Amino acid sequence: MNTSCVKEDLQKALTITERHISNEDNLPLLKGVFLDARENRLYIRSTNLDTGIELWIPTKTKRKGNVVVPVKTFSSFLSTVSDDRVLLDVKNGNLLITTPSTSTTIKGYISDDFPPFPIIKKPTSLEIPDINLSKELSGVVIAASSSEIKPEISSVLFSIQKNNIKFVATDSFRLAEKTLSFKHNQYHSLLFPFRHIIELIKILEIFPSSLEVVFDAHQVIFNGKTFSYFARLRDASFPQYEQIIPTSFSTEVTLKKINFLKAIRGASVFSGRLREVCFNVYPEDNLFEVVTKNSDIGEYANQIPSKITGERLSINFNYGYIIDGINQIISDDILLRFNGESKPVLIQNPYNANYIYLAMPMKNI
Amino acid sequence: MTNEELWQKTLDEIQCEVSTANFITWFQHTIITEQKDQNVTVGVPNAFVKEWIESKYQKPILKIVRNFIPDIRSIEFSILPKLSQKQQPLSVVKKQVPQEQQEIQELSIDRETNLNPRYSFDNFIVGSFNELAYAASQAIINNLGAVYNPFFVYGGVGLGKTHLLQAIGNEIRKNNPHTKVKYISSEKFTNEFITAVQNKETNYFKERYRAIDLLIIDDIQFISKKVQTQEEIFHTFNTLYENNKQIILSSDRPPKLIENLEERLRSRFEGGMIADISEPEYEARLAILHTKRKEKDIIITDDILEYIAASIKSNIRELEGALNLIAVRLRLQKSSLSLAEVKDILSKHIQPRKVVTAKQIINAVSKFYNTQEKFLIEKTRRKDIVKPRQIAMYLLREDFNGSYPYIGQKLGGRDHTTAIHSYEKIARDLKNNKQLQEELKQIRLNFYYNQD
Repeated sequence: MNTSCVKEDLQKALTITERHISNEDNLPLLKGVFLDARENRLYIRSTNLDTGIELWIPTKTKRKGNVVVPVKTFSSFLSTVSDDRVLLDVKNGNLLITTPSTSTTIKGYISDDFPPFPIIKKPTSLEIPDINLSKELSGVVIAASSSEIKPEISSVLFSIQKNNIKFVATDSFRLAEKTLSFKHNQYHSLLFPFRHIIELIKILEIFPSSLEVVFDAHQVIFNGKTFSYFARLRDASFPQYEQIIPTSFSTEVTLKKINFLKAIRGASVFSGRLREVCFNVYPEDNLFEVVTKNSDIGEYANQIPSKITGERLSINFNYGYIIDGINQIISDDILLRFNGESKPVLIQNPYNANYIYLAMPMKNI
Repeated sequence: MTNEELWQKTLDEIQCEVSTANFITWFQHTIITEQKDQNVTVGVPNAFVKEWIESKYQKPILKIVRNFIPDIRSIEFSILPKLSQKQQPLSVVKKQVPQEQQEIQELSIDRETNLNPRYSFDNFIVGSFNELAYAASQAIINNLGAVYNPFFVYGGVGLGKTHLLQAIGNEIRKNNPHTKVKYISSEKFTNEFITAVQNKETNYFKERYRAIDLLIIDDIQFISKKVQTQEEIFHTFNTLYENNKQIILSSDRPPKLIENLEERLRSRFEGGMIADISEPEYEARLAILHTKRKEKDIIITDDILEYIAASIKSNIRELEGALNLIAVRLRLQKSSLSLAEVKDILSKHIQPRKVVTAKQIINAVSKFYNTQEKFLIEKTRRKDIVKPRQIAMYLLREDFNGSYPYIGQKLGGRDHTTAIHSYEKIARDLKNNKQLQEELKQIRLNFYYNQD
């Protein structure tokens, strides 16, 4: 192998592959990355036998070849290099790295023993075009349950329908749903462990791309322009959540996002262990009030002029859940839609409902 | 040689040839799943292991296996995700969420099946009032789709129809988690169907329902008058039935008494097994109370349970309600309750049956027998009028508490002895005549629940 590439490209690739190495000690090979120099491309691969990633960066290759080196050593070393380009070579099974100012050898493993990237036989595939996919997915994954006790909700659903694709997640206290328009002729319901989706988001943040999803009953490969990410499908089905999303509302409030966020942050200072804040809605005065009371610390009230229709309401929430939802909405205005004090609030952009966030209230204390 | 023995011997030999690290990584969670037609299928936990063994070890493994069974010609590998031990350590302590934070209720029931795990046969009481339905359901569990298809259960409110239906579903899922079970109320079915029609997704809807192994539709009587839904149920029914898939239905009345039900559906509902759940007798009510007491872990004496069992007759749900009421009171006052106190609590909270008027009774009877009120009052002795008239008298006595002279007078100025005779005759007939019992139940249903 003899190939040269831009150091920054290589570092980006390693930050991703580093996340997919095995933690187990019995096969040190799996703590390494597989480097494969081909014509004009250096392929970098790692796996923990549960998920796997393969991606490539542009290179100038004089001689093809491959090697496996421990990724921690490789990336720690690279972070100390100040030169822009690095030259990679293999001698006696070890990796030689030459830059204008340094020359290094990292002990390699026998690359023949490194597991190949899996192929899915008889797959189904579909193409998701959005280039801002990492952002759309991270707006949904926040709502997934982090506990594995209920695997079906510790997941993110990709629900593919005729005219749209929906990403959905819930931890039973809140639910987030993103709808993208999309043409496809078949229905699919794909459920992924939310950790895999977090990894996918990380990959897409560094390598923005459209996505080809290739899957069978148990496994999936996400193919981007420069990467392939292999992951598992969840062997469970997502709750039928559609009927949870209310379609009619008894109180609707439109207010400025910035005012609302300020009020909640203020209220959170005076909130107790339960992180509770109270919203009072006064339709007759077009006022939305955020209140907290704490016998140890003090009291807080903030009245925000708002556009309100419907009934009077007083309702309690965990402010963390509310802030999570508001932060996902890209708009100066926020629409809050209520159905009384024991039903969830629906948070959305007033002019566009392709992202909705549902949060359950707290009982009156 | 069994699959286990063969694979164990093969692994022993492989272990000698590869490093321990390699062996643990690649062979630890593998099994032989099948030996068939000179072919052995090996189950592996994931795609990485599959690719690896396939590319590196397929030939050596085949060679070793053929040492034991020379007939074997080929080896295949298939992925069995359940072999994967690589599950994240379960966070044993559930993340503490304060009680005050409410949950989205709908998520706690299994959405695929719609079954609520609360309902099982462990807490299902069997008595003479429901033993037929219970026996049939046991037969169905052991032999899904082959006996009693469809199975139609009917009975009044709060007698445990839903419990029985859900328990069947849960039991079947327990025995074989891969069975596709769907429990749905007919109202929800209608709603889903309407949504599907609106979104032009009827094909998807149809496919979803026709891929089910056990379909349970609760409260099927609500599809009366809904022509399109009936048609959809009819087609779903036929598809499932032809493929020997089990169908279970429940209703508050037998198929022939569901109004506005298309004839072809009615005849299909009647084509399998029909079982009724009637009102529990005293002993069964007491048994139910005993189980509930244990379940809820409340401390009350047997004589209180006996009193409740004796005073609430027709409805199991009310029994539970009464027990809940007492449990709450116990928690509040923190000392045991006397029988007198219990009597006092219950008398305040248990609703008496709805009040009916004599006119409503007569009206319901004449409607049910498809005749007119004036015939009941007339002096005719035609057989088809005599019976309804006697039933009207019986009901006026039993449910309205009318005096015999009043009853006689109300039905065409007859003598009070006629009323006595009628009452006694019907009371006597009721003991042996199932048909008559059912008729009376339906008439009562009409004037207690469907008062206009």
